[in-house]
Parts: sequence; structure tokens; C-alpha cells
Amino acid sequence: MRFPKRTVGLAAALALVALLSGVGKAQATDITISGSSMLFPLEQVWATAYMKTHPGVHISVASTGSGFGISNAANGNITIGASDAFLTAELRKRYGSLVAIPVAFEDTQVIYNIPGIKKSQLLRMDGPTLAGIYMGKIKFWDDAAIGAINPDVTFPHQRIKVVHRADASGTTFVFTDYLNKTSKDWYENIGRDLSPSWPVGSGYNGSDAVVAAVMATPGAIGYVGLGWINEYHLSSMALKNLDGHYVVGSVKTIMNAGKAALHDPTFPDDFNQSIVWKIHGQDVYPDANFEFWMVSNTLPHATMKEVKKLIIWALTKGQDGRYTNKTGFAPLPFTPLKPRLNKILERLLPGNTLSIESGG
Amino acid sequence: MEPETRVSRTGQLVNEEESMPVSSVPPRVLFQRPLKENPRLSRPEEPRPAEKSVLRDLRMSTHAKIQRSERLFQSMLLIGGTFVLALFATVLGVCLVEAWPSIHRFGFSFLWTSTWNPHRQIFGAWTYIVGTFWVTGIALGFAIPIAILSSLFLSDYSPKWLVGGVSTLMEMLAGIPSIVFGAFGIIFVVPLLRDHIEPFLANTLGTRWEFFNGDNMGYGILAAGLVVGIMVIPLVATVTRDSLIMVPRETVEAAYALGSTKAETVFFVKLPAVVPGIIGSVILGFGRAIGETMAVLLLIGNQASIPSSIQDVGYTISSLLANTFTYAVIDPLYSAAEIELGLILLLISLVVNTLGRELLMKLMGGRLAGSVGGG
Repeated sequence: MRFPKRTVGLAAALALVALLSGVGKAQATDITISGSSMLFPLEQVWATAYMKTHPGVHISVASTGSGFGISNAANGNITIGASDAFLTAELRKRYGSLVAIPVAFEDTQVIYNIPGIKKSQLLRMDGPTLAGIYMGKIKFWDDAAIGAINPDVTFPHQRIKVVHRADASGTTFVFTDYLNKTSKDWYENIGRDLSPSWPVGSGYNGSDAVVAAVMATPGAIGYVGLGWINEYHLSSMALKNLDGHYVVGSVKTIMNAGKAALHDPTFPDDFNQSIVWKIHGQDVYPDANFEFWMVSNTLPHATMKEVKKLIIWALTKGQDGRYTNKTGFAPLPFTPLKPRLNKILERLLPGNTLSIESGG
Repeated sequence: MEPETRVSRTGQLVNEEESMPVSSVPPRVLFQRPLKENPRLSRPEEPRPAEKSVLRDLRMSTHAKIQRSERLFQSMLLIGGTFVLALFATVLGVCLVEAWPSIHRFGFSFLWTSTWNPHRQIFGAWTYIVGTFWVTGIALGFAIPIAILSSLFLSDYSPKWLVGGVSTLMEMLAGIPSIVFGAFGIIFVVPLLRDHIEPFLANTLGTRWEFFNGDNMGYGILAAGLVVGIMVIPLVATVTRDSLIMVPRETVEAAYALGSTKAETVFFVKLPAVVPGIIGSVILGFGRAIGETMAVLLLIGNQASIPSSIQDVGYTISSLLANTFTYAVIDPLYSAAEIELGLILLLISLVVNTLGRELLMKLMGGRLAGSVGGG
């Protein structure tokens, strides 16, 4: 076949344009963050703010669930995997290249919809009773076990409708972590998991669906993160902590838990430990957790440098209240965190001089 | 654009520029009159003679050239055909390989084990198979009578002005994305069930049969089944109506001549005549209902337990995959079990489709079977 000269010229021009745009793209760094749906709102505001001040870096964020974040960060499909759950020993064995970096505080709180109970009324809940409800052993709101810890409340004789997450979720992990540590029954039969096999109840895909189902169903009980409580002005139950105090989750009480963990010298430097049901104190919420970014140390050097810059930005400027508090997270306390974080970052990019110097 | 000589619809050679049928000119003129350009039949590489004609151009496109284009066309068709085949083989092969750890470990007991515990590495499909059939069953049980009634109404009883409108709406209903139906289910069906229908069921039938009693959550197999049923109605109704229209006029007139009333004619003559069509459309509907994911996921309550009451929550295979597959990839056995579930779904719809086709063949003596089966 013979092409007219004009076509050849056009093709050459097109090829040149493609080449040039390709070169242009190669200069910008693409960072993909995917995983935890709990951390997603914070990541969105971070990405927008970071891209504004750092031209040449393009960040795309997706909410796909913590499980997806962990596995895909390990096999290199995404740059940063977001997770509500820390790396358990089993996961560390499977994904040896992953480094977990705590980026914010969150928690899981119990929400309810009981006809006849006023919103201002404080309801208390402890682990064994909550486990009993979620295992279908406590069926009615006026059960003696619930009444015993709430002597000042008259409950209606209403069936408890258990609501849980259907997708694999870090919120569920933190919630079942609390049940796991406070109820022997739960520990033996169900355990801690992102997607456990629920004995009773009904499951919904995403925290938003859980909130909707609980708000619409009289008698329902469910669990979501602090961000959702703030957004929908829900009232949550006070959970019993390690020292027997009943504490409602708030930015302050979950920060207390995190701070205590960071000041604790026995807490591992790589943060691969739960802080649920571990922290002593009066005003400490028992079901708080770190939100993690998982980064594989096998990333190419150039990308890693950009990723590290982003991490440092997120851990310093990104902790500002207009990002964290506004989206329902508590900022990380900086002072106790600094030496530990520098140690973690050293693992990601050995010999690099970038390190965290100052907070906010 | 260059003027083109082409064959018009009536089969005449036409030169577009002059828009005069070539054959309408006397043949002598055709030989003498030079045509300006003829891109399809001429070969631009060769130096053109000063004078051209249609016949000369025709002679130039040799036998070999025609054969070459024939072969090219044939091989393109072959590529298209084998691509579909290869695609199916690849999907099936990849699924089998990925599901192998689970198939190997659990064998056939996977089918009737009702424990699904990723934590303890025990996987069984029974709960999900049961849930899938519950939703499909409720959907078809709800959709088939309504679809048949509506198509009978449309073909025989409805005033003329209503037919066009209702059929168009019916076809539009079939085109609405399933997520929209899911949302409709959450904002309309679930509150309706929770506040009115389920308490009513529990207070009437539920006092005698535990099967109708329950928690009145709104969410559950009933809500999912009804909404999937709404999606299936247009599928069944349109096919049934089309077959009702095809019933020969003579048959209907014969029934009237024998003295049957309108209702008798419709019920005893027309309806039996379209049974194969209804079966075919039900198979289509079954295929839609069993694989429906998003609407079911939003409404069924996603709880892995075997429903003992119509008000219970459940779990279908497709909604389990949609909910947990991204997490299951962490664990090879977990993901293998989920892919095996997908294979089971594939197998069920294959079996139902094949059986339905066979049934149709028998009922219709081999006519039409290909046109209504499948789905």
C-alpha cells in the first residue's frame, strides 16, 4: 500500500505529539492511594491540598476496603494502601515488604435506634453484653444484662436488630477487636476479622449504609467510625474501658488512648499492635485505632522519594485540624511520634536525609 | 469526495455525480462516454489510460483479486468467531485454575456445607446457594403471574390507545439500571415492608405459620425478591405479549365459532398456545434474577444464614462476591472459595438454560427454540 504524503506527515506529527506528551507525563509522579473506606474522606482532602502545593505530583485516591489496600500495596498495583487494621503477624509473614505508617486516629462506636430513649440519655455498654447482642444471645432491649449496666434507663420490650458491615472493613476489625478482648465467648467462636462470619443480624455495604439502616430501623444497633457520628449527629454508647470507666468516643478520648500508647516504651516501634483494650486511664476510649498507610519497600527509588515526601507532609502539615478534625479524625500527637516515625521512614528509604523535623 | 459508482437499491449501477442510472443509457453511450473517476474498481497505482469505461474497470478487477478479498473476509469472520470461543475458554480456565485450591480441598462437600468462616478456613456454599434460590424463587413467583396477566390484558382487553404506551413503558422498565431499582427498593419497598406488609403478615398468616413471622426489618429476602421481580416482569411480559400476538387468527376465530366466550377463548385457547413462549421468557427472567447483584446487595441484608421465614435476611452468591471479593484476594483459599461460588452460579444458569431449551424444543417441536431460549 502506498500512503499519500500528507498522511505520512500527519502520522509523524501525531507520533511526535504522543512522544512529547509521554515525556511530559513521565516527569509527573503518579501516586495511587487505595484501601480503607474509613480513611478515604481524609485522604481526599489531603490529596487536594497536597496537589495544590506540589505541582508535578498527581494523587488519585480510591475507597476499596482495607483488605484490598493491603494486598495491592504489597504486590505493587498501588503506591499506598490504606488500612484501618495493623499488620498482624500472619499478614507480616505473607507481605514481608510492607511497612505500616500510622497517619491518623480513628475509633469505632456503637450507635443505636431504640424507640422511647432520648438522644441525650447516656447509654452504657460493656464487651460481654455487646458480644451477647452480636451473637444473638441477648435478643431484647429490656434484657437483664443491659439493664444491669444501665440502672437509670427503662428499656422497651423491643427486639434488638443487629446491624453490621457486609464488606470487608477496618471498622469491623476494630469493633471485633474490642469484642475479642472483652468476651471469651466471642474470642472462642468468632474472633477478630475484617469480615467475620456473623452469627446474627443483617449486613450493609459501607458505613453510610449502616448509618442509614440503623436510623431507619427501630430497635437497631450498629457500629461506625467517629467521622460518621459527627457527620450525622448520632449519639453513641459509652463503652467500658480497661479501668471500668464508661467512655464516649470523641476526638479527645481517642487521642488520650493514642497518646498513652505512643508514650508507652513497650509499644512496638512499627505500630503493629492494637491499642484496643490496652490503655489505662479514666478518659480513655477503649476502641480506638491508628489508621495506617501501607507502603512496600520495593517501590522504585524515584517513586519512593515522592511517597516519602507525601508521608512526611501528611504527618506534619496534614495533621492540622482543618484536615483531620473536620473529617472526623484525631490528629496524631507529634512529640512522642517523631522518633518512632523517623525510624519507620528509615526502613522505607535507607540513607535518606529526609526526616520529620517539626509538627504542623 | 470523489463521485462513486455504486449499485443502487434497485440494483442499477448509478453514478452519483450525475445521479443517472447507468443502465438507463443505451449501451453504446456507456462505451463512449468517459467516466471521470471510479475509485472502487480502478487501481490507482497503474497509469490510467486517457479514456476509461465501466467495463474496462470491471475487467481489471481480476478473478484472483476477488478471491483474495473473499479470503480476507472469511478469515476476519473466523477471528471474530474463535475470539468469542477463546474468551469463554479463558474465563472458564482462569476461574477453574483460581478455584482449584478450594475444589481440591473441599470437593463436593463444598456444596452442602453451610459454614463459611474465613477465619478458620472452612468454606461451604450451601447458605449462599439457598439464599440465591430464595431470591430467584420469590422474584419469579411475583413476576410471572403479573407479567402474564398484564400481557393478556394488553393483547386482548386493553383499549387501543393504552397498548402503545404501556408496551413502551414496559420496554423502558427493562432498560433501567439495577442500581436504580436497588435505590428504589431502599426508599420505597423497605419502609413499605417494614411498616405495613411485614407486620400485617406476622399478624395474620404469622399467627398460624412461623414461616410468615419475623423481625420486620424491611430488609431481607422478601424485599430483594420483590425488587428483582420488578426487574423480571418486563422480560416475561414482552415475550409473552409478542407470542400472544402471534397466535393464529384462525385458531381464535374457531374458538369463537364453537361458542366460547371471550374469557374462555383467552384462557383455554390463547394461553395454552403461548406456553412455550412463557417458558422461554421465564428462563430469561431466571438468568436475570439469579445473577442480579447490586439491587440484591442493597436489599437482602447480607447475612449468611439460611432463611427460615419470608421476613428473614439472607445472602446470595453474587452479593457475597461483590461485598467481599476485594478482601478475599488476601488469602488464596478464601479467594478460591469465592471463585468456586462464581463457577457454581455459572453452572446453575447453564443447567437451567439447557433444560429450558430442551423443554422448549419438545413443546414447540424444534421451532423457534433458539429464538427464545438463552439468557
